[in-house]
Order: sequence, then structure tokens, then C-alpha cells
Amino acid sequence: MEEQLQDPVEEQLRDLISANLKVDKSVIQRGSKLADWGGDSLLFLETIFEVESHFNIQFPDTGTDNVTDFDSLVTLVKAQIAKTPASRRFNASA
Amino acid sequence: MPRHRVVVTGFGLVTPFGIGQQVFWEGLKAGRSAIAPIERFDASEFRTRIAGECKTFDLAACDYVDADRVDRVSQFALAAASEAMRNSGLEIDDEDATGVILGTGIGGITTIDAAQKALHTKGPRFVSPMTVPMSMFNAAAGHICIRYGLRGPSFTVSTACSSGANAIGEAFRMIQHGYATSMLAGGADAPLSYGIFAGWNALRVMSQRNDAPASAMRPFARDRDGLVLAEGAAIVVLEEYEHARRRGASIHAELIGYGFNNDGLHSTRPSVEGQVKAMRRALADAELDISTIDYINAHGTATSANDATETEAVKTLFGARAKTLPMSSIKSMIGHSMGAAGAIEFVASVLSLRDGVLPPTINYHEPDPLCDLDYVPNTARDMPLNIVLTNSFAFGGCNAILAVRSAP
Repeated sequence: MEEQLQDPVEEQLRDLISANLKVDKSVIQRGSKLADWGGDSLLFLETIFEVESHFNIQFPDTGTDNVTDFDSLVTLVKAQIAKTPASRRFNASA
Repeated sequence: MPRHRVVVTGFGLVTPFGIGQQVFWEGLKAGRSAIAPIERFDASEFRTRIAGECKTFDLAACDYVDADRVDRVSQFALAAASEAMRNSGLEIDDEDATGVILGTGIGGITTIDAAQKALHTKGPRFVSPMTVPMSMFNAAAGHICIRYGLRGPSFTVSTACSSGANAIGEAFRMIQHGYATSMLAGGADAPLSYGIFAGWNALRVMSQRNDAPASAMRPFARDRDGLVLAEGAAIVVLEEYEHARRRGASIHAELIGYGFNNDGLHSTRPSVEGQVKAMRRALADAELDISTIDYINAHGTATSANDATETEAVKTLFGARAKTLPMSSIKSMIGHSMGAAGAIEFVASVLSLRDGVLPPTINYHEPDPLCDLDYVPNTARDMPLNIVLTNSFAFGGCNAILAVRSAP
């Protein structure tokens, strides 16, 4: 748990998801499913947009199809951050 | 085909005076102005830098879980609907016979502006997926249906400055003809967004009295120099008379006539002939003679063309009676809130009937030979009323008139 809280990408994702889906941050954890958080496909799209904007990354068109839980979202975001040159990101510290 | 009678059992407002009917009616009766310098965006480059902003608006008034995920125009509509529902005490007994018809002139323009800014400064992928659901014109009506579980007739009309009046008129018809027993109807607009304000600025129809906002808008006065743009919403609960009576509802007034048409002449220039025909249709719809009208809540936009044309139309229709027929413009106090205006003025008309008070046309000091009627200058007037007309005229040639009578 301590280790998770120290991961800035995860921490920022938890903040974004919690604000967008209006769910308590404590339920957004490793191992939790997207479906557990409530919301619908429109909310999910909006959240994906917020995540892209926040990290200044762009998911591939079908990149989010297999995102069903928090772990796969974290993995995808980190992969996209790694692919995006730092000069194109505004939250470079993430 | 027999028509059902339609009564007003509740209303709610968001105006530059603040949230709710109390601050609105007190402001109007006191002849106060709610016009002030623009704070929502940097207006320093515009020739007009004043507006009727709803500066004290609070999202909590929406009473809606997703209030922060809708455009400002929907927020106003939700807040007005919330007050109207509480005011009416309406409990939804038949969700399929209860609906929402709203009017808006420009819909979710703040959202469109934000999308355009993101598109042109950052790129296409920075345009939010919420752009479409937030900006579509029927968003506000949809959210109200969701909030109150309404599944009856619902659509949105857009006839520029007469949208709110047309929406109330259409909802009136729904109940008259049996498609619904109760309707929420009204108008909302939030046009104080940088991009569209630039368009209004270019149109040169707005007052440039930036140093004297409270006395800027001067309907029917010789020294008028245009309208002051404003934002807000008003929603009324219309109900089939027997339905309202059975549940013991407070009945504020009865809606008895609706007339509407198009000038078919010009996009922005008003027409005496078109306005006369629309008023005549409202009177015919209510089976009224001109002698029965006690007061007109005017369109009165303080543009050179509108006020002279509206005056001429009233004189043409009412003849000698026009000289003694009071007619005032509440826009002198709250500005012109576009698609909301017709609904806000309908509520003002209902309040006038209920309390026997004519709100004034403020800032009226220099009579205009072209506008020579009784505009209830500067101070509210006590006067028992039975029947009131409210006029709404719009760009695009649209005219919409509602006739409303004291509670039965």
C-alpha cells in the first residue's frame, strides 16, 4: 500500500478518476475493476480524455479496449508516457 | 375539439438579481438595475463591457448530482426547474403525461467556445468528449427529465429572443390537447461567453454606457443606445386545471392564449405587420377583445428599431386604447437574456397579475416622439389586473405572444 501511494502516476490517476466518477479515492486501488466504480461509457470516455490531457499523452484508437481494471490502466498510461517524448509532455514530473 | 384549461402552479428563476423569484420580484418592484461590468471574461477590448450576469449563481441550486458536468445554460435551467417544482408542490403522478419544453437561443455556447479554443490552440485531440452532450440545445430539457423522472413530451425550441415564450406556448398546447397533464416549460440562455459576445459586439446593438451600467438600458426613451446582453432562466409548471384543482395546488394564473408567426421579411429588422398579426392571433386564441387587455409586458429591447416598431404595432392593433394601455420593459432592469427573456417576462406577468403591480421601465427620462405610449416610467405602479399580454419578438422574424389571466 505504501508503495502504491508513492507512485506519482498512480496517485494522479486516482485523483483524476475519483474527481470524474465522484467516487471516494480509497476505492480506486490496485486490483479494483472499472465496473466497481460505477459510471457509464460516457463517463469512462470523459475520464480517458482527462487522463490524456493531464499527462499529455494519446492512447491508440483501440488502446483502451482492454482496460477493465485499474492495473491495466496504470500500465497503459505508463507505456504511453514512455513513448511520448518529454518535450511534448507538460506534466514531465509524472 | 375541446381544449383543456391550463394554469400556472409554480415557477422558478435565475436572473441577474440572483437565484429565485423573491429577489427577482423585489428587484423589479423597486425598479433596481442588475446590470454591471462583465466579470466572466476580459471584455476590455469590446465597445460594450457591461452585462446582466448571474454573478451570485451557485451550483447547489441545481439540486442535481451531475450539475458540474453540464453547460452553464443547463445549470440555470436545472436551478429554475428545482425552484418551480418546489413552488408547485407537484408530485409526478403520471410520468408519461409530464414533460419538459424549453427554449434557448444559443444553447451550450460556453462549451462550444471552450472546444473551439482547445481545437485552435492545442489541436483536435484536445476537444472534450463532453462537447456534444454539453452543447446540444436539448441538453437542459433532457437533464430536467432525468432529474425528475419525466417521460412525457419533451423538446427544445430555438427562436432566438422569443424561444422562452414559444416553449411555454408549445407546452400550453400539449396540455390543451391532452398530450400531457403537467409540463415544465420555459427558457434558458447563457450567452455571456467570449466568442459569441464578440459577435454581439460586432453587431452594434448593445449599449455602450459602460461607465453607467445601471442606467445603460433605456427602453422606449429617446436616448436609448441599445440592449444589454444578459443570462438566466425561468421555468414554469403548467398544469391542466382540473389536475391542479384536484390536488389542491396554488394556482397563480391561467394561460389562455398563444399567438406566433414569422415576419417573412428580414433576418434582424422587426415588422409592425408581423407583430400585429401575432398579437391578434394570441387574442383570437384566447377569444379576447382588445378592450380586455390591462397591461402589456413589452419586448422593449432599447434598440432604435424594436421600440419604435413595437410601439407602432401596439398602436395599430389597439387604436385609441393604446394611449391608456400601460406597457413596460423589465429588460431595462435585468437586460436581455435572449431565449430566457420570454419565459422570465411570462413569470413577471404572472406576478403582476397575482400582486396587482406593474414593474416599471427604468431609465426613462427623455420621451421619444416615435414611442408615445405609457411605459410605466421609472416607478412600479399598483393596478388591479385581469388579463396581461407578454410580447416576444426575435431575430429570424419570429414573434410569440402569450395571454395570461388572473387565477380562476
